Amino acid sequence: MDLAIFAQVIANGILTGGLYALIAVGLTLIFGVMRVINFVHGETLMLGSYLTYFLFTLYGIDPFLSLPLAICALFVLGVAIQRFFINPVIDAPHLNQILLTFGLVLIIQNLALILWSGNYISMTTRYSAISLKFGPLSVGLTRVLGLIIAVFLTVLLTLALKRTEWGKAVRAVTQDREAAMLMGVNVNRVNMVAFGVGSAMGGAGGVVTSMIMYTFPLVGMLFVLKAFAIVVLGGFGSIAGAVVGSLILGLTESLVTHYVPRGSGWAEGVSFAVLVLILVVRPKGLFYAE
Amino acid sequence: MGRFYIRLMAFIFLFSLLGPIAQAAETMKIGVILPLTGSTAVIGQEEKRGIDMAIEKINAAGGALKKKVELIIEDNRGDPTVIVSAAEKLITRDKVVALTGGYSSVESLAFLAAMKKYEPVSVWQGGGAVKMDQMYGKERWFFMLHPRSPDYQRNIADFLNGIQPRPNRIAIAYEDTSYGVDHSKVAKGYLTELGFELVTFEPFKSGSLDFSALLTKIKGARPDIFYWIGYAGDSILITKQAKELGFAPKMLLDTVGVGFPEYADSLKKDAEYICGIEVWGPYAKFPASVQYPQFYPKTEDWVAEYKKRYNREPDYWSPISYVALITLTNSINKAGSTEKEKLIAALEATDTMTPMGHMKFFKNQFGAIHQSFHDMIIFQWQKGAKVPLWPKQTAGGKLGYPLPAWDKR
Repeated sequence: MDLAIFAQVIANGILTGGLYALIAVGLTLIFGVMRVINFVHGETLMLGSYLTYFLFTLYGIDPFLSLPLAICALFVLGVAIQRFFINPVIDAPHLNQILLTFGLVLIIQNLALILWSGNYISMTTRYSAISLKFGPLSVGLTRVLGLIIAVFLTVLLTLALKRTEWGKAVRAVTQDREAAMLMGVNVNRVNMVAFGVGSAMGGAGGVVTSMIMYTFPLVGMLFVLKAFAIVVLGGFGSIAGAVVGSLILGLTESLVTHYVPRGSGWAEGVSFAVLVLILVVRPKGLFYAE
Repeated sequence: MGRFYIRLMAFIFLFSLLGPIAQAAETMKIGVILPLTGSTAVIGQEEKRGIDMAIEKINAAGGALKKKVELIIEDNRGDPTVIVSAAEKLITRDKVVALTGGYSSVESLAFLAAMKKYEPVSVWQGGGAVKMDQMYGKERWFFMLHPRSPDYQRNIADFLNGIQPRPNRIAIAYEDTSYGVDHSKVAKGYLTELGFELVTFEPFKSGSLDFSALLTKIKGARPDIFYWIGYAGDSILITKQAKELGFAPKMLLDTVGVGFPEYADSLKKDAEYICGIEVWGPYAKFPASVQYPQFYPKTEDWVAEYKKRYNREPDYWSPISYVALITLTNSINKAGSTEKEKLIAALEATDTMTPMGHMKFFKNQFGAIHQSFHDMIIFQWQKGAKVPLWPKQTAGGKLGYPLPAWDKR
C-alpha cells in the first residue's frame, strides 16, 4: 500500500467529515433540546449558502466576512421559525412535527426555485481552488478553512454549553424537560435560543459549502439525510456523538471510494451499512448516556 | 321560430362543408406537434420559435407548389397519449400532407406506434433513443433529424482519436443513473475499438458532496485524458477539486455538465480549457447553403437573425425545428407533388448545408434508414467563451492541448 496515497485518502475523509459535523452538530442540538425532527435544517444551509453567494457576487463581500452575518441572520430566522411554527406543535405527536417541518422545507425550497431558478451556481474567490501541499499531500485551502470553521464553532458551542448559564439550562432541558421546568428554567426561551443557535450552525454550514462546492435550491437535501444518519449514529442530542459520527462517515466514504474497485458507487452504501451495524450493537447511538 | 333555427343550422352545416374545400384549394397544410405547455414547454416554445421563423421565409419564397403553406399546430403538453390523438386529428380531420415536430423519445415512440396505421410522411426532430431506430427505423415515411444518443460518444471517440500527439490513457468516471451508465458503456465500446487504454472506469453518485477520493484514485492512474459523464453540479465540483488536488491531465472533458453558461460564470479561469459536447450551439461555424442560401445562411447570420427577432440566444431546438420544416417544403417543391412516394424520394435526395450542420439522410448502424444530423459540436472554454473544435472542418479555433498547469490558465 502506498503510504502517501493512504494519507491523502485519510485527509480527504477528515475534511469531508468536518463538513458533515458542522451540519450535524446544529441538528443534534435542536433534537436534544426540543425532541423535534427538524427537516428545515437543510434549508438553513441553503439560505446561508445563497446569502454568501449574493453578498460576494453583488457586493464583493468575502465569505469569511459573511460568516458572522449569516450566523446572525439564520439565528434570527431560526428563532422566528421556532416561535411561530415549532412552538405551537412542541407537544404534538412526532408525526405532526415532521409534517410541519417538511411542509416548511417545501415552501422554502420552492420559493428559492422561483426567486433564484434551479441553476447551479458557484463563486470564485481569490483563494478558491488553491491547494496546500504537505509533502505528497494536496488539500484544497477552502476545505481546510471549512474544517477550521467547523472545529471553531463546535468548540465554541461546547464551551457555551459547559460554561454559560444558558448552556446549563440547555443541558438541563435536554436531560429532563419537566424537571428543568419545575426548577424554574424558562424552557420556552431555551427552546428558542437553541433553535436559533442550531439554525445558525446550519447557516455557517451554508457559508462553507458555498465556498467549497456549489449552490442551488435543493442543496440542503444533499446534506440533511446524511446529517440525520449521523445524529442517530452519534446518539440523539450528543454533540461529541455527532462529531465522531461525521468522521466515521467521511472516512468510510473516502476509504471505500479509493480501495474498492468501482468504489464511489459503493461509498454511500457501505457507509450506511456501517451505520446500521453500529446501531445494531449500540441501538441508542455511540454516545447515548443512560 | 323553429323553422328559422332549422334553416340557420342547415346553412351553417353547408357552410362548414364548403369551408375546408375552399381552404384546401388555397393552402398546403402541414401538421406540427409540439409540447407547447406542460413540463417540457420551454423546449416546445423554443421549437416553435424556429418554426415561426421558417414559415415566414417559406411563404415569402412562394410557399409550396405555389400555395401558401398553412401550419396546423397542436400542443401535446409533453404527453405521449395526447401526441397520438393530436396526430390522428391532423391526419384524419385536417388532412395535412405531412407532419413535423416532437420532443422526447417517449413521446416519439408513442407517436410512431400509432402512426404505423396511417404512415404519414413525417420529418421529425424529436427523440434520440436508439429504440426508435430499432423498432421503427425501417419505416419509409419516417425521417429523423435528432442525433442518436450513441452519437455523443462516437463524436467524442473520433475527436480524441484525431488529437496530435494522440493520447492513449483515458480515465472515465460516470454518474450512476441510467444517463451516465448508458453513455459510459457506449463510450467504452467506441474508445476500446479505437485502441485507447481505459485506465479507470468508475461510477459516482450525482450530487456527491466530495469528489476528492475519486479524483485521488484517478490521478493515481495517470491518465492522459480524464473524461467524466455527470450533471451540472457534479461538473463544477469535479473541476474545483481537480484543481485542489493538483490533478492536471492533458485534457479534462465532460459531456453536457460543462455546457451551461453558469459553469464558466462560476469557475471563471478554472473553466478555461475544459471541453464538452453539445448537439449544437450558436457559436457553431457552418457555412451557407449553396442550393438554398435564402433559407440557410451561415450559422452566424442565422443566429443574428434569431437574436434580432427574439432578443435571446437560441439553443439547438430552434434550428433543428427550422430545418425540419424547410426540408419538408423544399422536398414538396422538388417532388412537384404531395404524392407520398415522390415526396419520400425527394426527401431522400436532400443534401445541403444548414445552420444546424450538414443535412443528408443516411442509413445508420442502429437500424434506421433515415437519420440526418449526427455530427455534434465539441467545444473548449477559451477566455470565457465556447470555441467549437469538432467537427474538424468547421472548427472555430485551435485546441488547447495538452493543458497548461492550473496556475497558468
